[in-house]
Amino acid sequence: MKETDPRFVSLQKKVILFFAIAAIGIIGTLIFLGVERGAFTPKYRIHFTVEKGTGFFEGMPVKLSGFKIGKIETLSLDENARVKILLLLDKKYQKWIRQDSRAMLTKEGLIGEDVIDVTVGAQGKPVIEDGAVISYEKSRGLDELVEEVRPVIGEIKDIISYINDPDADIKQTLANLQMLSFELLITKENIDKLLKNTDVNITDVASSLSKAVKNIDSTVTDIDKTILNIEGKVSPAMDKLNKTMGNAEEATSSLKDAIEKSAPKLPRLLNKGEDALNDTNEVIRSLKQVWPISSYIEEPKDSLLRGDSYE
Amino acid sequence: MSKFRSQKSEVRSQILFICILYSVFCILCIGCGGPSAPTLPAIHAQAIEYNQNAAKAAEKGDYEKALDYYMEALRINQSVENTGGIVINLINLAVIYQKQGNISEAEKLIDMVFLIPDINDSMKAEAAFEKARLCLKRKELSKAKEWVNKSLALNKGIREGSRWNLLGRIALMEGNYSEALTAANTALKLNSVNKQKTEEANSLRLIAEIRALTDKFEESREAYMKALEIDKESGDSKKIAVDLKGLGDIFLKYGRLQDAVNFYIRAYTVSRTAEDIEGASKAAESLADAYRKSGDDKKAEEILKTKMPLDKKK
Repeated sequence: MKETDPRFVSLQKKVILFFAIAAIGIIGTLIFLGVERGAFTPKYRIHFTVEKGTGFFEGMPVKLSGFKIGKIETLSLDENARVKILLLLDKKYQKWIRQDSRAMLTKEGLIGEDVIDVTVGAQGKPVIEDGAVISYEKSRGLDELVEEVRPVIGEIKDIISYINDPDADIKQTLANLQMLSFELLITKENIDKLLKNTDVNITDVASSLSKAVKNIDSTVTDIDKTILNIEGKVSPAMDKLNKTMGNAEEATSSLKDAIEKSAPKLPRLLNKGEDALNDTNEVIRSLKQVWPISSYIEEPKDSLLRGDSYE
Repeated sequence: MSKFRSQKSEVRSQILFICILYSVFCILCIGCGGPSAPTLPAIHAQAIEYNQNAAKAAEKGDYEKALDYYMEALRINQSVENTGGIVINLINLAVIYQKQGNISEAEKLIDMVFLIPDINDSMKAEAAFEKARLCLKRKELSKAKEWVNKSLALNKGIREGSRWNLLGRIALMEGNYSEALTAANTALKLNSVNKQKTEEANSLRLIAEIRALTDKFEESREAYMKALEIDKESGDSKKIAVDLKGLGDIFLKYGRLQDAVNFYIRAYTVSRTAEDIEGASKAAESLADAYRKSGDDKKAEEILKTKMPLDKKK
């Protein structure tokens, strides 16, 4: 039976088109992801052999001059129980990996991840072909480093013990310096005594003068005390009065400011309010003219108060 | 077959869409063609707004506010020489002054109305009626009757019943009960036909008063009860209290002291709660009188003590 509803005409085609678009989208996404992950990049393999497989793992990145060029594809034991490490590398980097290139197990930075670092080979050397062997150079571990540092630590230890020796030159020099500073201290005390004696003589002369001055002082002090007493009584009251005046002044000035600021706005605000009210009235008046509201509104007219015959 | 059905459905939905569009268009056309809203010059509208605000204030009993608004409305109307507005606001001001007891001021304003040329008879009739009320307040009965008759001559209209009520009251004050009753009955008929409820109650109250004075206890009571019913419908506290006090008066007259006390207490309660000091004072005085007549002088004294602060407030 032929479909007559226009909505369902060529529905099959539409469904196919829908699925086709979806499939294209999915495939496109997959291709994009594949390209991003290098699935379509040509590869080649090289390998090396190590005594122990410690530190290696499948998928470990292989880097050349800091750039990732591949990864460890497999780890396997050969016939001699040594570990064969197969590297899967991008073909485009093959030109730099030559017979004199070496693979090393290193760390990226002090706490970075473990990587296989491949050195760039000399231009004159042939490139390492697919399936060939790359030489492996054992990287120096922490133990080797400790061994190297050990003599240096011994020397530092010797220096410290020399400094601590009481018969050594440094200790002797320090003792002499201490003695010198002690003698300098005694000399200073003697100079101080001499200066004090001079002071006493001058003080005797000065005391006679000061007595006379004291008498004047006492008179002045009495006057001062009287004034202070008066001040002591008056000043708190004055302070309070001043504070009150200050507060009042502040309040007045604040009020004045507020009024000065708001005063020019007030007429405008009032005008605006009136305008708004007039507008509202106008809108209401206009609304009253609109049908069907207008038909319910009676003609406005003056009402007459009727006098009551009984009142 | 299926294709044909599909096409048919499509056509149907198109027709439906066109119908909806046409309906919307028609509604819009009707809207545009509707009666245009009444428009007033802004200044007239402003004067009317003041007038209406004053009426609201007067209804709430805020006479000072009402006076202010009416004055403003009058000023605006005078500034554009709107005679109709000037007359209405002059009469309104006179009514408010009269409510406040300022008879002379009210009279000045009413007299001003008659100085305005080319005012319609309806307004002249209303002003004449106000003039009559003012004369009655001054106990100038013949003058009052003259002005009521002027009012009736100028325009009858739906307010005719109120004029007859006033004529009845004048006759009652003159002691002419039969004339008063005739006028009151005429007023009752007119007010009932013209659906002037307040004036209808006034007519009934007037009839009740005349009947009470002519020793027609049952007719009087009946008329008071009818007036009370209408006043309760209107929610006019002052008038309700007057009706209750009137009932108390006729029961007291015919020696039914307990009933009289009950009506006076009701009248007093209504007046006090409505803050009608004058009404409350009158009810308290009548209540004290009823207790005294029943021999309970102590109670009468107590009531009079409660009345004293009310008199001070007055």
